Amino acid sequence: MKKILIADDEPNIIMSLEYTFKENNYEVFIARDGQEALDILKHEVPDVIILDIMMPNVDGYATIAYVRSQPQLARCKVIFLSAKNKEADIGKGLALGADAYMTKPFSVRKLVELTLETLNS
Amino acid sequence: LVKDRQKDDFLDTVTHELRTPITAIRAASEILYDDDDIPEELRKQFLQNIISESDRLNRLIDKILDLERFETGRQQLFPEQVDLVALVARSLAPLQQLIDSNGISVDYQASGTLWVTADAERIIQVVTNLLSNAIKFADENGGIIRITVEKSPEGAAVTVYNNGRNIHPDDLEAIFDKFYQSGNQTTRKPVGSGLGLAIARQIVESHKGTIRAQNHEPHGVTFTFELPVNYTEI
Repeated sequence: MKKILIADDEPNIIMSLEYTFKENNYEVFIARDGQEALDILKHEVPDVIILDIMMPNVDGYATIAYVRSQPQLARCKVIFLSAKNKEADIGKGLALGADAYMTKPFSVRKLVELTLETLNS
Repeated sequence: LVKDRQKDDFLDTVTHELRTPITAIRAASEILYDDDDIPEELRKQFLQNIISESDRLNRLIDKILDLERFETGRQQLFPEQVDLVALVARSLAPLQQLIDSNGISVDYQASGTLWVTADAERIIQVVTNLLSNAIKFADENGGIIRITVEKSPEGAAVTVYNNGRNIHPDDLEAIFDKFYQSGNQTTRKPVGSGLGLAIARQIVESHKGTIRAQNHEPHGVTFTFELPVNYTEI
């Protein structure tokens, strides 16, 4: 079973993501901001992280910076999922080491497909 | 150029704030459409999410339009003789449950009357926004809010104190800008809609009054707004 960490501060978005990935046989970990994501990453190595950018306390950029600085997390794939949808935002996200970027609002089906593609890349 | 930049920032933030509820609605709708076997309780919960996110979207649009009407001077005020002491009490009542559930104690000794000419509903909106702000930022461990209503040299002053963290000195004025985000960190998310204090300022200024925020050492913030006794005569 693949492990997925979902970090987003919107409870209703988390609920949809959690349901969808559980239905698709992932083991799901939930973080309501970047700090909670960092806490989980201290003892879990997810296969993929779905990361919102605009979150309170620790944002998505700081979270990916931590992930990419930790050798034990080197194999984690990171997908940014953000309402920041300008080309410059997407470029910045990928430059920081994300494997993929999906803009909000998103299709749940397409996010599941993108996650699978990213895991297999 | 600075104005263009501010307009860009505003549009950026507004589109982000509008997209967030749409994202939640989009995701829940797609799940309901695709999944026929979803348990009844969960199905209801997803539908409830769609309803509450639609309401949130609508409230946000109302606030943006409200602010726009003030900024362009098209918002009409309906002045009447109002007692500020009573208006503050009226503003406080609907928030009491939220105050209690956050374990916050409120100190407000309503006594006497203080009459001004103002738009009652709009002043209630100002006090409500300041109180909501105080509830959000009061100390999580033993929040305290103090409210005063007093005569002032200009007319009447209302203060709302909370014992939370200080506001960065550079931000004391800018927090009244719409969607202002402290420290210009575009990735940090404001608590709430980011429009409450901006609307409060517009309302107070349209009454020819003033509004400001002030820090206390070592912690605590007071928001004060002052109204002239009769702005229609100024």
